[in-house]
Amino acid sequence: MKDKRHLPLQSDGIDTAAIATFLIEALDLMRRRNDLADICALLASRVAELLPVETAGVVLADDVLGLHLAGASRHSASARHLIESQFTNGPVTECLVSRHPVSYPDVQSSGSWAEFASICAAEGIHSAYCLPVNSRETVFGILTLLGRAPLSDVDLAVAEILTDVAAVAFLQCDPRYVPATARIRSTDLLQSLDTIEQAKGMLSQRYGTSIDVAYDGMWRIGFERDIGLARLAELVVNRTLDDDTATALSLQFNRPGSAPAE
Amino acid sequence: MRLLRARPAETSPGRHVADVARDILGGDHAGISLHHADRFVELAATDDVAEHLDERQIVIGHGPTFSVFETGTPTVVADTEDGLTRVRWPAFGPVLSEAGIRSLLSFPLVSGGARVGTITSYRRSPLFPDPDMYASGLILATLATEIVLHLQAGLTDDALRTDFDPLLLRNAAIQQAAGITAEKLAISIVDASIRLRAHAFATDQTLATLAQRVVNGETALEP
Repeated sequence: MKDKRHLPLQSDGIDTAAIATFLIEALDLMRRRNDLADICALLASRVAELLPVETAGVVLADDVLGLHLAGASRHSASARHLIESQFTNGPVTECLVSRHPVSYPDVQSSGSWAEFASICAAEGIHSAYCLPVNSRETVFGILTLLGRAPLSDVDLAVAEILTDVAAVAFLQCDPRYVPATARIRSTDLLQSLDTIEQAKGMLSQRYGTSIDVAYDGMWRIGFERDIGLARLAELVVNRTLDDDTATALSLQFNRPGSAPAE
Repeated sequence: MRLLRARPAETSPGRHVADVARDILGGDHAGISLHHADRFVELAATDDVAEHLDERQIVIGHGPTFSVFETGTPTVVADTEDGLTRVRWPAFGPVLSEAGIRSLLSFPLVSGGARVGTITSYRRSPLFPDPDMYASGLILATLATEIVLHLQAGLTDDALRTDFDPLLLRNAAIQQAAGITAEKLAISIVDASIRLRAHAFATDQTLATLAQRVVNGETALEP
């Protein structure tokens, strides 16, 4: 994969309106609050909507804390396993070490990362791409994209734009990036992610939904009400939701089309 | 992590965590307080001084332990003689002075959105912690929380050793299972976390395995 792409805005198949919407959402989030959990969740969610991928994940990289999944488009155990299996051996580690985009249009025939390739095969995944979320030499995280078919150059150019925006968000949170202060933020972020997982569990049990549906409902209500995913999760976990938000969540899960637990 | 693992046989796990906290945070004394059933209790201390300081806070009802627990964020007092400490903690400030403490660092013990307790390092001279020390304190508090949850579940070192590595990799299913269990049994996340660890030990399975079963709906803890 080339180091830098340029998006041919006139190309067919580019949903420029969707890209613009993402930019507006991301900038709005940055303006309102420095919340990396929301930024990572937004990036993973929108990239999966914009591109023909099965699973998108944003992986946080820290030399002491290690690699952690900070945002994902799907939240099932198998989706997490597809991403987290790359933390020891796979395209994510390759991307982290090289600090350059990594491209496997056909994972199974690439001859690389045999264990990861077999996990992908079992899930019907054939292509894997990783893009660094970075600023110069500092890699904040990795965007990993897993799909059933190869991505086009235009798709990858779109993904690159989204990762650039995420990099700006990371810098916005810590403009004078130094590892120690970044670690403080990362530790906070990991606690927020744990809280979000706990809240997903509580809501899935309360409303009889899957973990994925619980997350989607929380994300939607948090976004609509400008609460922030981590803050909303904290309110759920501590059972301190105000009546309005509790009602909104209840309606969200009880609306038609809200899938029950599998 | 290496320091936490290297526990001398004669030292209790709680005391060992306090010892490590004191050393990493550049202190002379350190103590751990737990929040249980709406009140604080002392878990462990490096020595009599730390035990006295933690105990006095519980009796008085204010101090860094309370501030940290209420806000969920660390407290740093670089110099207790700055005049502000006695304004902030009118009764506990003099206790610090009498004990010869000039600075302190206190971190919350949290598991996701659940607050478990606090860990505080006390020092006899002023200290302005650098970002590395502060970051180390946050990481230490995360690891210490896991040890404390295991202790509360009444588990052995072997269980802790088995569960420690997967936990350090941040197992989402463990947090989800805590949420599912808390909701099902109408208990707090902390109590659900303790119940899960005790159940995993009692049924001879790793915490990660049990958590995944709970998430998959294959196992549910009973009231």
